[in-house]
Amino acid sequence: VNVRAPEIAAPGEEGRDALSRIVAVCIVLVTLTAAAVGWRAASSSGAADSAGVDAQRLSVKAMEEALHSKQDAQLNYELFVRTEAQRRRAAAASWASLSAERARDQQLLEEENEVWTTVSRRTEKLTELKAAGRYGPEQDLTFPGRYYAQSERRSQEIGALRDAASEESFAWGKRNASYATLLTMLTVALFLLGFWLSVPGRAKLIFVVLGIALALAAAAWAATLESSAPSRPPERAAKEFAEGYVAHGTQNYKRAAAHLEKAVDLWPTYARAYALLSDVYFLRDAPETFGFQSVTDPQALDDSISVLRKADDLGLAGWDERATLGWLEFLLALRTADDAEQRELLEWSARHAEEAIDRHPGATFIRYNLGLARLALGQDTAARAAYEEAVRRTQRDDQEWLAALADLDLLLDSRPDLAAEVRAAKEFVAGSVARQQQEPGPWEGSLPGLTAQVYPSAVQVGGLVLDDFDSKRDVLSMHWYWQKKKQVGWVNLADVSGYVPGSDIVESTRAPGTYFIEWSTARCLERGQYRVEIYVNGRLAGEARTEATLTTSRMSRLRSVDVQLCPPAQWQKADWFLPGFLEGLVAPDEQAGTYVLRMPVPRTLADLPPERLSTASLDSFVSTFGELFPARPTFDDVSTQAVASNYFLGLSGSRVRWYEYDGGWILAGAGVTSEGDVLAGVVFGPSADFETRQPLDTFDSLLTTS
Amino acid sequence: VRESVSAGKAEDRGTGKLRFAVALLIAAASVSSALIGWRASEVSGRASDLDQRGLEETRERQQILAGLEALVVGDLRLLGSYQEHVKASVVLERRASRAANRSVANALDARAREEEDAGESIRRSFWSQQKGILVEEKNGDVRYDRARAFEALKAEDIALPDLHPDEAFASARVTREQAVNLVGIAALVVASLIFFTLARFGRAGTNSLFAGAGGLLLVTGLTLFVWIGP
Repeated sequence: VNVRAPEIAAPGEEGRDALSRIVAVCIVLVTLTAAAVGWRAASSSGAADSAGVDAQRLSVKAMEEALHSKQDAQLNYELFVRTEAQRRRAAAASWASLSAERARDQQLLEEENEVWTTVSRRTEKLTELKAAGRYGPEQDLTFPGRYYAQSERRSQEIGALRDAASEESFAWGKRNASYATLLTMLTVALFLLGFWLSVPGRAKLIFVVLGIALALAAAAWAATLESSAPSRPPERAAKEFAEGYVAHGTQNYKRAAAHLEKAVDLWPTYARAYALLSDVYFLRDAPETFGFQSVTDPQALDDSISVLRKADDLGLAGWDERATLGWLEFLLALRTADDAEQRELLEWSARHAEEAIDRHPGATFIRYNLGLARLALGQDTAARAAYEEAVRRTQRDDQEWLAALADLDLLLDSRPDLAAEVRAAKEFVAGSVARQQQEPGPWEGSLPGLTAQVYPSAVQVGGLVLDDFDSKRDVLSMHWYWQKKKQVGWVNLADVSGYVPGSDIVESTRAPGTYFIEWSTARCLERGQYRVEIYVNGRLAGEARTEATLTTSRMSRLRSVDVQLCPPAQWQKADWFLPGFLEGLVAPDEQAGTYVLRMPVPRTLADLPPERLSTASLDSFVSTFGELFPARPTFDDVSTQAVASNYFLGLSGSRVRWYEYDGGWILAGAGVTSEGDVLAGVVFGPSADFETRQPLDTFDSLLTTS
Repeated sequence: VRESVSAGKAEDRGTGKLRFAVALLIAAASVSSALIGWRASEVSGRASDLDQRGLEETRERQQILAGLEALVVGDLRLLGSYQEHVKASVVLERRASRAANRSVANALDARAREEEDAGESIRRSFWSQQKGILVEEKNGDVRYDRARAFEALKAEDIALPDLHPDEAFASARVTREQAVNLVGIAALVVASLIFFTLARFGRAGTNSLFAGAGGLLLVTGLTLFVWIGP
């Protein structure tokens, strides 16, 4: 009888069954987990694709918007320019009518003036740009820079949304890689658990335990992954970034900082926002707003480098960020007392400068920065090589070499032990840039008696004794520096520094044999220490210092008469306005102010010498327009006799005269322009005001812009 | 003893049937997973195609719109000059009619004609010649309806009506979700396959457990596939 023996449980069989059940349950769970992870991987891959497509779509849209807004801005600007041209035609016709010989001609010119005035008013309505508007030329010295910058708002917002989509796609992609690893772990766990089926004896326990451990680790990782999912930053962050970008472009740094801080709060991983915020922190407290901004307040420097490092950590590694980071590290190194730390920062500075040069070899200023860092490290040969490469790429009219000289002074302030090296580097830069254009002449004199004078919108260096100097052969460059606060350091005034053509070296009428150079600026200079260096043929020939106690003001333009000036900040456009002839600014109470009159020389006065013409024009101006002043003025002979200089705007035949009225004074100047017009300017105010420098500073700041 | 023998045979038959059924289920699950995988891949490919089409249509649309915008901007560039001549002509004509001096009136009138002629030659250069876009008031004020000009140009374009990038992106999104769901279903069916394999080759005590779990997964997967797969 073929009878199968009943199954008798062997010793330990029950335990093995229990283990079997546990392993079976584990296999089920691991398999289900793997299936879930596989599904999540597919899902995350889909999300990455979707976000990637969104990023590409937004990229196209951002480009479209950028093009659209630029075209619109250009159209508005063109219409604004046309309006201005029409106004000028009206003014020209009006001027011409004054000197017309025949009544018919005069009437036709007056009609012409009316036509162009009407046409300009209509054209002005076609453009959103207004002369006195927020982005108009009266508010923006960089006009139309701010207007163009604000037009980028929408394209920047879409660009930020594109970055958000791109970041989301990247995050999903990264998560996908995690899912792939998880699937591998779970597959290995299944493989190990599967050994339970085939391996005899106790050895299989090892595989089971390992498999369960691996599966638990994978499950824990999967749970962690699932606890948070990549998400797109809120759209509000993109809006805040765009607002910050525009505020940065329009030089409203406080507003820019507020918006960008909100942007990084809402989107803590947006590297571009951090980089821009770093720039904003630096510029917000930078004393110099023209040319290269090399220095800032110590706290601003700390804030700036802190957020830029954050951008660096987030992977923003453009040449610009590298170069900026290198420069900030150099500034930080100068402030550091610890030698080892200073050296480390300087090494980083040089390394970042080199990385930036690798990415953008054409950016010359980084080569100057590299030379400076190498010089500070005592690596003279490397420094020389960097400077040689920098000057080889520099033209005389560039600003990089001007900033480089000021930067060398920063190093000198912090490291007096490098005085000889710094001077040699400065002479090398000044001499080499000059040498590119012209072989230096033999002039080797020195200029010991230099004097420096600072006016509200001009600087003057005097006392130049230039025997045997030949401007066709010898190369002279002037470098002005300004120090607002000692802890911030010297900055270069790029707009009044550089190569000086021979025509700008003027012989003094008061001290024949000595020369002076006077350059005007396109802004209002502030109080502080000023220093000027004169290099001749690449050699430091002389220097002078002065302290300027100027009243703080902002640049204003009287565009109708082509004059700019630095009045007190609260002065506003006067109601009295004759386009092309008369324009002014007055204090809110109208007790002080300034007016400028431009007019063609009347036929009756055409034969007068320029000096008498100026005097007659001033008297006529003050009497004809007497109602512009708080009371009827009279000529003040005594004060006029005491006038030290009749200089007025560099005009020919210029005269300066004083007038007085009940309770106040009028300081007036007039001269004849190269176009043959008479230009007269007055500054008036209560007598008490004239005990301060403010009215004189305002008068001295008058400059023609034509 | 006899009873024991028949009970053992019945048990063998039962195990044999289960194993046979599991073998069939393995085959069915294998075929199903391949089918679902193929379908998921096809749907995923279609989602990519739709994305690609959406991007291409976006670019093409952008190219066309930029071209049309350039025509409108070209018109707007002429607007300033046109406005200048038209306004000058109207003002000069008005002042000529009021001038007391005949010689001055004639001169102003001649200037008005010049301005009018110059304005007319510019008007002919406008791309948008449709009525209502470039409007000239009696006082010489000129208005250009930019939105209308742009819409008119868009309406005339023959390629734009066929370009619907947003629809393509929306379809791509739906299709991608479908592909992800199909991958999930495929994972379920593959999981059932593992259970069936364990049921086929595992120990007697756990076979039916694995087979049951596998069957459950397979039925769920196939039901879902029938629901969202096509």
